Amino acid sequence: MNPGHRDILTELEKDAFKEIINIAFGKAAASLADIIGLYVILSVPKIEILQPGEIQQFIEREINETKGLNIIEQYYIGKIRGAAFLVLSYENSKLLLSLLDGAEQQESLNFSSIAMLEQETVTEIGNIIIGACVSKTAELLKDFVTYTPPRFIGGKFSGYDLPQKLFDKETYAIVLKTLFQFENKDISGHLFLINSVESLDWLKKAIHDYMKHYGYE
Amino acid sequence: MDTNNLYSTQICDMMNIGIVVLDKDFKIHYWNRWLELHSGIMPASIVGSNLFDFFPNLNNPKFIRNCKSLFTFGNYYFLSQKLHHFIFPFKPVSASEFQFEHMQQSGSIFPIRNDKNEIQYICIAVHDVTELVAYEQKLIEMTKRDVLTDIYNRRYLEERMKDEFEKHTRYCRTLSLIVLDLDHFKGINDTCGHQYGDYILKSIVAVVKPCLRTVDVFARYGGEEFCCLLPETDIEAATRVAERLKDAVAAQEYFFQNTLIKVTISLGVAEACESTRTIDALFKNADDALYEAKKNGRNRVVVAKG
Amino acid sequence: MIKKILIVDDSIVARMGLKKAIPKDMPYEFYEASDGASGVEQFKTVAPDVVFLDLTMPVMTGFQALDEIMKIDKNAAVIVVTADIQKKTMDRVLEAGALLVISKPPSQEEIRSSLEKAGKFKEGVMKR
Ligand SMILES: [Mg+2]
Repeated sequence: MNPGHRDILTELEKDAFKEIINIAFGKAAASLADIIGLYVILSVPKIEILQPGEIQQFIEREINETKGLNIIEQYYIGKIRGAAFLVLSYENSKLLLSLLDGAEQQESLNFSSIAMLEQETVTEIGNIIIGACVSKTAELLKDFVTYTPPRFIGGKFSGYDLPQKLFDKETYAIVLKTLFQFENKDISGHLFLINSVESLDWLKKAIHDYMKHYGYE
Repeated sequence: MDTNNLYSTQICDMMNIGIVVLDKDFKIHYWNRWLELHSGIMPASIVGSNLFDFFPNLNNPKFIRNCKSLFTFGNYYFLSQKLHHFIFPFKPVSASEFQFEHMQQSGSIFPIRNDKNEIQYICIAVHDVTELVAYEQKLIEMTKRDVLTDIYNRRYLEERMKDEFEKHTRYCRTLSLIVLDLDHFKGINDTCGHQYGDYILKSIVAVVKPCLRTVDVFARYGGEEFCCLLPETDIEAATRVAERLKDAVAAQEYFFQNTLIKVTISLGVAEACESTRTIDALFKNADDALYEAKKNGRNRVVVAKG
Repeated sequence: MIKKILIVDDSIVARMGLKKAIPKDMPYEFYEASDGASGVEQFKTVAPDVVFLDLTMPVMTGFQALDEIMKIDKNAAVIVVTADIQKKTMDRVLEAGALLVISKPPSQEEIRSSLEKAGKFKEGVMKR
């Protein structure tokens, strides 16, 4: 398999991968409801095969807002590996905090540290959401991953945020995008999983094994 | 015990980090030597106990939520010093770190899987970052200070002016500002040299500072110009302070090569009121008053017309 | 008796898998739709005996499609097949009139027994 090609996954494989993501995120949502007590409205994921240089544009297109963002970035390393970006607008971050215990703590701290506290708390929640989605996906593919510490990026997403070790300019990445909505709270965030093709052969096999196992193939 | 296991136990005990292993019920399964050293609790007396019995500070919804997430998803949980300050309430190691009541720590919690790949335990790894935080605080403090006089600098003054003005507009708190300038400072510099000029600046600061309260912000604005930001102070009180500063400075006697040098200051005072909509307007009022004081013969206080 | 089966799912792979899981003992007629809106349209024209309905779909979600279908026929036999296993989701679709909820991926056994239940429901032997 030549990774320098846009057709690295067939339409059927993409479709199956989307189903796997659906199921994984469904499981993640059920567990999240238990841990952070929020009901998640699941949406149809989107898969694109992109070159690292195209990813920034793709992300900007998918989220209408490009300024005033809170981004939590985390890398995951297993047989599947890549970068996860949870993108929230400032407004959404504030709302998310108000739902959690962050709000009470804020009052006890002085004014200048609220921004920092917000940042740290959003990062913490991002860590849980990303961990939920990625680990359930890995689990379905019979893999398990380890994570780097989550990193907070304020302002906007730039292509420089992608680690070059994982994303060679010459190859393609499998980019997954899904919308996260929390019911009744008007909070939504976009989750991007940018999978390196380093593990393409393994991923293809895992997708086919999955399809076979459930009689899809 | 196989060699692998032998190595890992030794590594865990020798490393300069704290390592504790817990199960789903927060029962402690491992307590390394670093933790023994800093807590004074022997492994034998803590292994098998519930973590919260020894460290009730961790028995909070946030910590429990994150640990639950770890057991469910196998993700990591990072405890930053900025947010948590410490995980275990230990004493700081070195006596020079007087400003901290507790050792500053950052940590991470990660899953430990059994041979069936199930998450059986979680491990908390704790680092002592007290020294780093002390450096950071020192650096932050340095960005606020004027190098020559060690009072606040213009950057910090502007920050505080914004904050205090915000309080004034939002909560109707009174706020006054004194702008003061050394008279004929250029002449001192020219005849006595810059070193002596610096000495005068430091001396004036030493005279002015004791006349102010700790809540006042005394800063070097630039050159020989200084500002005193006086929260909760009306124009009458501020004027009294300004007069006191003027007299205190004028009472000093300096000698350069056995020649007596008298130093005086001119001061402009203004209070934030309805017509001062911005902090810049307040500053301009005080600065204009200072200009009046200079024009009217120096060594005097002029109060801005409200 | 179940004859006409409508499968509404945006995933081709999911539709294929579902069809394969359906027992071959009966000459079923299959109809397919890839989003909620065309699922509702098909429901009107085909009048299927049973509908397998996905929830997360583009154009119109399964939640909305379920409401539309129940408006058209309050005795419709709709089996929701979904990846969304949050308890609230299950409660909600059952409330809206779904006969059963099966989590994805469905097993052959789940599909077989759900068809059996749908048959009994259609004959009036079993209530919702
Ligand atoms: Mg779907």
